[in-house]
Amino acid sequence: MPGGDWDPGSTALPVATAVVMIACSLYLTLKEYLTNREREKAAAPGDGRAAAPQTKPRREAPAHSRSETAADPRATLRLSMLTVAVLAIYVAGFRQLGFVLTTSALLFTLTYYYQLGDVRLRAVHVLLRHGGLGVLATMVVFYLGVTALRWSRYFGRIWEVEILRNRAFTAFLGVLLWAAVLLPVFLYVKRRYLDGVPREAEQAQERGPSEINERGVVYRTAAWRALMIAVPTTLLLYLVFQQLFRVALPLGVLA
Amino acid sequence: MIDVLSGVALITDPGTIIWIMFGVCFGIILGAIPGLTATMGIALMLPVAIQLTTATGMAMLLAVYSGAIIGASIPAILLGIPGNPNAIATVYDGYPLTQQGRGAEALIAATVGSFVGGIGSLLLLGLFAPLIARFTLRFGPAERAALALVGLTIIASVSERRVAKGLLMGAFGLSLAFLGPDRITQTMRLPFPSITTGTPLANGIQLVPALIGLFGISQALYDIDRVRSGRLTPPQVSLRGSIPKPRIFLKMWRLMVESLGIGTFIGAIPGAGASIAVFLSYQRAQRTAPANAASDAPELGSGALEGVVAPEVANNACKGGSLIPALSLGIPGDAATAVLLGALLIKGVVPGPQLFVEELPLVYAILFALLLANIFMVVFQVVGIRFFPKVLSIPIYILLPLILVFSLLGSYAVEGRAIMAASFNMGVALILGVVGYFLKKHDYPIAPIVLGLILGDMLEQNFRRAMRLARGDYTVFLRSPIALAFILLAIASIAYSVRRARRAKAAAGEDDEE
Repeated sequence: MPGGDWDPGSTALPVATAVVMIACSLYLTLKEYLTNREREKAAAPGDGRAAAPQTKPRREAPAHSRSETAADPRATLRLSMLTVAVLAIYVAGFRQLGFVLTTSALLFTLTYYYQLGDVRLRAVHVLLRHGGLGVLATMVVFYLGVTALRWSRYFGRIWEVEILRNRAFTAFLGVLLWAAVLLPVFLYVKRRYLDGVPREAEQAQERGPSEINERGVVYRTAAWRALMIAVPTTLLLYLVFQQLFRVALPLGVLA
Repeated sequence: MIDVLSGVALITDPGTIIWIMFGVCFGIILGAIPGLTATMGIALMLPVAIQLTTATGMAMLLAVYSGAIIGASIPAILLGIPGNPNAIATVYDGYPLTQQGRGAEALIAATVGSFVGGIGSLLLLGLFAPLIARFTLRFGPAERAALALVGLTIIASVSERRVAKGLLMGAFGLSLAFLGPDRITQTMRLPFPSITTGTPLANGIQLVPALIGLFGISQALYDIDRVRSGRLTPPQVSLRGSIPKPRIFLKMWRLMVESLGIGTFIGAIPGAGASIAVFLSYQRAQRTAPANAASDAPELGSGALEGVVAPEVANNACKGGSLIPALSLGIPGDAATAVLLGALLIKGVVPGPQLFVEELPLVYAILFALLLANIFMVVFQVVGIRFFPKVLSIPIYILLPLILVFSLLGSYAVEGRAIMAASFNMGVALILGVVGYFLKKHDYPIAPIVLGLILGDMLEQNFRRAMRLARGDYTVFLRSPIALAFILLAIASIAYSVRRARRAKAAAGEDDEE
């Protein structure tokens, strides 16, 4: 026996752990069962106090918050389910589809729906249209940056300029380049689509993201905002992980 | 002396200083956002720390830890919402001060308190940790196994009134630690080895994706219901004419020393937690403040600076205190220290006596990094007194997607260039994140899982080694006085927790009847 005759073996502690888990689970199940039975007994007819519906006192809206929309458990559940589903797709498709495509799509989808505060089927067409635009924009700007970085390293080698081969410096260059491309576009988008949002849509947003404007102004505003977050974040994450930390991020279909 | 200089040299490198500054800033911003904790911040930054050298990575994580603690006081003071449970006591006087238009004064007081707590506990850490570590040189496998058992009984105390749930979660953490091959015999422990061999699961799960999943993703999922709430609007804060005079703080020296002692002592007790320390120090302040009468406020609770300083000193002192058992014994004092300990283990540094013998420069580097983090914390908090409160108005719908993506990419980055294993890590983080979310929803504590994950290996290796040396004699744990003392301590710890839980339940029952 490799561990020696006196070794309790590789299963000793896992088995002991399993015993503890089973014992605790049984105890908790039994406790829950007994508590429920006591509750049922207490709720028997004739006991008005116990039979009365249990309602928690409503929490007053905190003074600090400008607007606090009442939490809708069903909307939260839908958002949670969407989040888990989107994350699972992200993990499953990360290698095949690549970092740029999946990350920008994930960030866009989550930011978009979180702004709306609920998963609405009516909002899907805006998601697809703006999301597609966002992914495309990320890919174009990404290629532009990556090509520039390659050229910078190439010239660094040819001219023997050490700083052009430095990963931190090239990452910094990448930030500058992407900022130079994206900033004017974002300023235009902000002026054209966000600053120009009609007053009623703004008021609806102030009341809470769930106040959906029928004309889709809120959808579009949310989509533009999501786009402005998804594109630069994806590029920045690429620079940090791939350029600075040398993590092999898959390019997937872009390769 | 050479070790001290080597340690200082590890930290004074410009790159490390920049990472410390970044860590403090990130920590303050993260801590300022209600719901996001220091533990989550450290877990999120773990993948970044792994890419750096051990000293730089640890320095950055400690900076995040320090920043997140002071950051939590910002919403507590300005909005009356504690950034995390440890800042609850700061609300009592910090928020009334803001209502009186003295928010900046309260923030400065919190900064001074944090600095005193941080530096004071750092000195005590430097004093006591080597002494304890030297004592542990006497430990053999039996004593170490018993020590791990004591560490695991912390589960009972960190679980507050949920002892059974805590034990269940601790056992779950241990079972996660036991996944993969047995390290002594190299045999597969998973069922169906023919299927699992050749997959990343055959090597078990790594600590970083597990921590990121349990603390990062689960918390983000848990916070989804907050995306529907409106933005927070913090009041304007200006430093002009509102810096308290130094003599006000000098008058509080006794309160600060007492809070420092309370914080460091409670922090050093594994599992006790800073929330106990802040309330004890606040109570102490209630008794001593009328005699000191340092501020204009007549009594605590209505806007006295003592009510801000005392809990902040204790809260930050806990940080140094909790590092004492972590560095000297390898037993984490709380969830945040558990993650820090995990970072050390990933880097191949085993905390305990060997750390103080073989890696003494690293120990000094950690102490010096804490010192620098505390200094930067004061500088940034004062300089950014107008900027950091603005963080509170960042909408949660922007933060959550960023946290989720960063968590998944962080778990991926652990393996760096091995794409298959890296993708597996993302899956582990996501699954444990979802599991953690459901556990939180059903009131199961998460911290015991981490303790189980970290201490599982230490317990198993030393238990089996002790059994082999004692030729299968289980009484080896009773024959060693140190091991016996640890076992009795473990039993006493669980008994005390059960008793405390029963008392709390009885008290709650009485309240309901009333």
